[in-house]
Amino acid sequence: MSRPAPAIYVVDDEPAVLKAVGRLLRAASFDVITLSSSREFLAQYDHAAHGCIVLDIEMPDLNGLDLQGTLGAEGMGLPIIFLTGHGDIPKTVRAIKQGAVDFLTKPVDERVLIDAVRAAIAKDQVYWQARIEIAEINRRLATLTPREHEVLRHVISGRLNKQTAAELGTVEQTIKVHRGRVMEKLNVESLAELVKLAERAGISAVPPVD
Amino acid sequence: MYCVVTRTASVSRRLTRAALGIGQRVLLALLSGLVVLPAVAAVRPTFRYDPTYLIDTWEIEDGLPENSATAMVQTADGYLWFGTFAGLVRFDGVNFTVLTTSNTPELPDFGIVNLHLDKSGRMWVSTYGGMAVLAQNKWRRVDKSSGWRDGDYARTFAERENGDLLVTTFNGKVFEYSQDTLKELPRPPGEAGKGYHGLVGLTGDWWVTQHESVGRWDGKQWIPTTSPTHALAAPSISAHARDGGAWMLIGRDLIKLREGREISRRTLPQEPGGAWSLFEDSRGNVWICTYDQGVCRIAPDGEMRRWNTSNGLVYNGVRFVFEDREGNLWIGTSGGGLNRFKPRRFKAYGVENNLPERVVKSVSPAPGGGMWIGTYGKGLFRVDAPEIREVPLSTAGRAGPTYVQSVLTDRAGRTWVGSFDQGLWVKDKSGWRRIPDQCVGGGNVTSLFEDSRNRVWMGDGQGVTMFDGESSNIYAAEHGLAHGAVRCFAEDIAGNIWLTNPAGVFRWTGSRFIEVRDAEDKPFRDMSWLKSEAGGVMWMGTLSRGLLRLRPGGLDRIDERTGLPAASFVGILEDDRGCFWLATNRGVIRVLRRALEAVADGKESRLDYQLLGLTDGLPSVECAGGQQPACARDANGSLWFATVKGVASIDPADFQVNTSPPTVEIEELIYSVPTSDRRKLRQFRESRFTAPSAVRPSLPQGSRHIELHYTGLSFAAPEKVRFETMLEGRDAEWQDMGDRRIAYFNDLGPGNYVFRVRAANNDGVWNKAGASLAFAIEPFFWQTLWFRVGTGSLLVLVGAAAAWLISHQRHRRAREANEHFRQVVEASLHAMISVNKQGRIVMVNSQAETVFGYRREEIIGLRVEQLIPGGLREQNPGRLNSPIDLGANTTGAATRELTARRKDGSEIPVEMGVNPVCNGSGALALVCVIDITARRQMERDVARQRYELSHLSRVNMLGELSGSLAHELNQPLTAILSNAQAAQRFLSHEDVDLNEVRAILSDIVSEDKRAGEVIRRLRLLLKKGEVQSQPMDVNEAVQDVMKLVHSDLLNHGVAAYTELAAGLPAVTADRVQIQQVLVNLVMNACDAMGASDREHRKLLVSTARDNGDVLIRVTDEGCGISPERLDLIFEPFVTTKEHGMGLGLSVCRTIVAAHAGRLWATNNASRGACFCVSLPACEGVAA
Repeated sequence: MSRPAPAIYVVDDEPAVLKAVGRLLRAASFDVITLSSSREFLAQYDHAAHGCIVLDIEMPDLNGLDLQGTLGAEGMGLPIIFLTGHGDIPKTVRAIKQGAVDFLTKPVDERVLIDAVRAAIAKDQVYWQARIEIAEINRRLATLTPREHEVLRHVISGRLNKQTAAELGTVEQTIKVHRGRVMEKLNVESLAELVKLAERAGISAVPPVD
Repeated sequence: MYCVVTRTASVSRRLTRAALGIGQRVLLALLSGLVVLPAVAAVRPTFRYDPTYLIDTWEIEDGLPENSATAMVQTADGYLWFGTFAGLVRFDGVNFTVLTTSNTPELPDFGIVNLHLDKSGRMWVSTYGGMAVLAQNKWRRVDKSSGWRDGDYARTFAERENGDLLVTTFNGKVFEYSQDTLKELPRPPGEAGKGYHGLVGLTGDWWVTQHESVGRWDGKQWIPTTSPTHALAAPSISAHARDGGAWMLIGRDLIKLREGREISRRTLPQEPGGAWSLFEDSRGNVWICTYDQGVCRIAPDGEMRRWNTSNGLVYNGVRFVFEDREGNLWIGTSGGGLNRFKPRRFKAYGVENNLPERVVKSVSPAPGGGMWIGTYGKGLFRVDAPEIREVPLSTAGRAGPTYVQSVLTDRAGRTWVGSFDQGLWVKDKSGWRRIPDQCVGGGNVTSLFEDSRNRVWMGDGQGVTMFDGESSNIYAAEHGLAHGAVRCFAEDIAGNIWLTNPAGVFRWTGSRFIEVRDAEDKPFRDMSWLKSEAGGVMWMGTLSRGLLRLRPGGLDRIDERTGLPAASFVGILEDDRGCFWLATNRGVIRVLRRALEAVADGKESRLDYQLLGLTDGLPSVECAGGQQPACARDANGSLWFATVKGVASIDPADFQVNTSPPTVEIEELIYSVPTSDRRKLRQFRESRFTAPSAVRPSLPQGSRHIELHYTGLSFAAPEKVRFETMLEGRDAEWQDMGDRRIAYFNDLGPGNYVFRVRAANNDGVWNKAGASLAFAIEPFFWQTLWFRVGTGSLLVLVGAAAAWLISHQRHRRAREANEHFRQVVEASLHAMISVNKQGRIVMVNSQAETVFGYRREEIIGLRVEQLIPGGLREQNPGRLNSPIDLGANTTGAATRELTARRKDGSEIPVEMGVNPVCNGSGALALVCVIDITARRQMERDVARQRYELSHLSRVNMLGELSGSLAHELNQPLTAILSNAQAAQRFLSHEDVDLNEVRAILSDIVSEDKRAGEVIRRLRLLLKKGEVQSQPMDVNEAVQDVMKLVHSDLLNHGVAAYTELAAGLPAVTADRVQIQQVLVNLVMNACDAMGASDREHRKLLVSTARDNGDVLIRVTDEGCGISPERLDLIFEPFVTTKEHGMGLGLSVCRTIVAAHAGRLWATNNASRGACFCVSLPACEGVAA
């Protein structure tokens, strides 16, 4: 998968600020997309996007922190630089906890802003790689039948085939067949590889049965 | 309806005895102890279609003692007396008082044969049983000594100028009464045993007639004189002629004799019948009473008319015709009671003289001298007096209209008939035809009118049609005319046509109708008649509100309050004698134009008028209205009125007001006295037949339930006689009694009273003198003068002694009080000054010395004005001149601020109050002067502190706002910085995009300005400057504030809304301070919603108008305020916030109060609180 050019999403409800910040980043040779509200952003964003978000906090309707929460929940992972007129401590803490890469106050110097944007893009490089991988794993996982998915969860939990068969109410032979098909579909050679993949995909193990 | 009061004579006798028994107190007996009980005469319906007279009849059912009337006289006091075969009757028009032998023992017999009133006022009464004379209220029998025997009945009385009488009897005797003696004269020539008629010659000699015999008395013997040429068997009778001489009827010949010579003779067209008596009335008519064929009237022109049972009388035997002072004729019969023939004022045409329909809607002159009568149900009629005939309207076999509402003959000779059922008809040379409906607005034609230009206007239910020659035009709603049947048209002097319909009054301008309205722009709604006259005056008759006079510049109303006896006026006519004749629902009112104008002008409050009704010959008192013409003048000047029972006409030239005022009599005084039982009352009655009396009745102690019976003697229409009474000693004004003839007084105290009564006749002519009766009610001993004087003197003695004691005490106390007063004054913390009547200072306290800087002895004698310029004079202009004024008005006078001048010339502010005092030292007023220098200083300090505090709160607010303000400023600064740095970058590129750079610079400029604006607003809000009150727009202020707090709202996650009322008035206020208040309230609201869910963080700022105030509401959806704290929160240092100082709301309230406004808080019904600021609007200044 080829990597797209990074884009900077600038979200601010204040048109003059939006325009000026957008201009500044464009003058620094970034691809800039300016959006005047969180909703507009959500309507536009692309999962495969690459770059970062320069986000205002005080916005009507859905504010910056809320947007950040929404994106985190969706597992989007575009790095966020907050740009706020009046950053108090609680907000800053919340923003950082939620994974913001930087928290800048208005008015912001170009150097600070551009450095922050560059750092964010660099961070996004890593994120993006991981996002791509995870996207591939997810694509493969999506090919599993529910029964195979169930078997997968038992396998990565370290259960023996006959244990799994007992818990799922079938015979050992059937489990063997399912297991082989999962390894095949997920394109892994070993049990260790399978466990690693499942971990990255965030697939939870089945708790042991007493 | 008959109302006969029946009380028995025995009751009256008992009462009389009782009254006498009380001990000569009862004044009585002017008629020898006569107590008579009157019977009330009922008024019968008078309308009968006799063309000349209105005939009324009273029979035994109406109160007569017997159904005959044998003779009649009218005494000087105005009563009519007549004889019946069962008593002598006194009549006042309403009540019959019957005298018989039972209540008048002096009467020889109750059968009364003849009466005569001589020139000295004696009434001669010839009875079956002898003769008696009533003179000076005393009866005297004519006894046998004079030769008069019981079987002699007087047939005629003749009287000389000197009062000598000649009395003839039915049995042929002749008596002379001279020098108080009655003696029989020798038998005159003629047939023995037959009665004679006695007469007095021009020179005073006696004449008698019997058949064809005539004799003259020369003092010693009868001389047969020239005998009438005819010698017929028929009996002849005679009577005095008004111009002297005598009338004599012999057979069919009516002969006038003078001094025995015949001077005229008229042969009657028919046999009169068995003649009984002759009478000549004041109009020159000779009446022949017959005993078998009623009564005949021979007019001066010889016309002979007869009345008998077929046309008005109930009995054909007629005894006499008598004319009272008002010209009413009284006709007595010997079996059909008493009749009154009253000359008609109105001639009438109705059902009883051949008009087949009662309801007449229209009357107007017909060509050739007659009158059209439009009836409602039987078509058109024409009167050519006295004939009435139907006018058939039909064309080509089609029946004409039957419900005629309007009829009019125009100058071109066409006759127009408007109807309810068949539209409009017209008669021209070709005969009757119906105007096609499309040429008129519709059916139901109500009004027809011809204007001065010969145009005929027709009004119907739809509109108006104007016929001009052969053409016609229809005008309706599209010409400005409201819907409704036209009631009347009129033309003003300028030639404009006016009309009235149920919607109002309209004027035709030549192209459309313009509605005429009153000064208050209200329509004239219930007008029914218009009468235009010179000077732009329009008289308007209304259906319920009297008469209106619309004149340039005003509207006058004459209605029941200003004396008109009716409310509904459906027609107005004017005669040539300056009188208005008003057709109403209460009859026809005749009123002098100048009297009407005087009332309309407000110069007179009482209107004199004559109300003419049934008793004047009008067939109904309800005149027809709502159509035109409903009343009209004919060519001879007679006025015609349509009524709901026919048509009436009157000739104003013949109309004479009844100018004889009624004589007034007080007839009886009735009262009750408590008996020894106390719970029972005993009634006493005093009758009087003359008034006023020299004797003053004196009623015993405790008399009560006093009744005074009185009467007004007018016989034209006794039921229309009106009375006013006044009881001197109790009333100060005349009381209107209407037609009541009894006055009641229930609980009069002891004392002297004069009861006065006056009366007006049917035409409103008053007897202003009236009658009076003085009477007294005796006091109980404790009510008497001597008792009062005695007890009074005793009281005075005791009082004097007590007064001396009290005065002595008082003197001592006064001295003490004076000293006390001085001490109190001295002790006062304020300057006190006592001022005498002349305004000079007589006493001061030490405080006054301090305040004014004078020594005490320097102040005494100065005027208050010298210390306090303008003090007393301004406060109490002229008051000090009178102690009464001071005492009455100055107590509690409000203090007020003035400037006092000290001895050193410096001025100090003072408050001063004046109180009247009365003490022995002659001081009149105590002036209290308070030096308010310190208070002023304090007030200034407080004001300054308040100002400081308000600034402090502003600074405090700045802290609260700082985050918001930082944001407000940060935004433009961010934009500017980023733009500038972007521009730097662009400029460093190799190919500089100058357009981009220009755009950037332009943005920088506008953002910089925006930042400047934020700072300006901030400075305004925080400025420490003078308060400047000027008209401001509340909405603008709210919008500004919302901008200012925009970021804070965002910060708090609060969604803010505004609802600003349009068109609010301005308020006079300091804009900055008001905004400060609003910022405070908004910030509070944000804080209050800090803990709320996001969906409940809503703030609404609204403005509205509230009566004279402008209201600003800041509503949140926060936690609200606990009820007990709703008012507390405005106290200083009370706060709900963790970090608040608790000054914001208290300062806010101070600020709002300083603007004469109010600030309060309420909890919303759902959730949250609402803070309201109300500021008085400055009226007349739009925001």
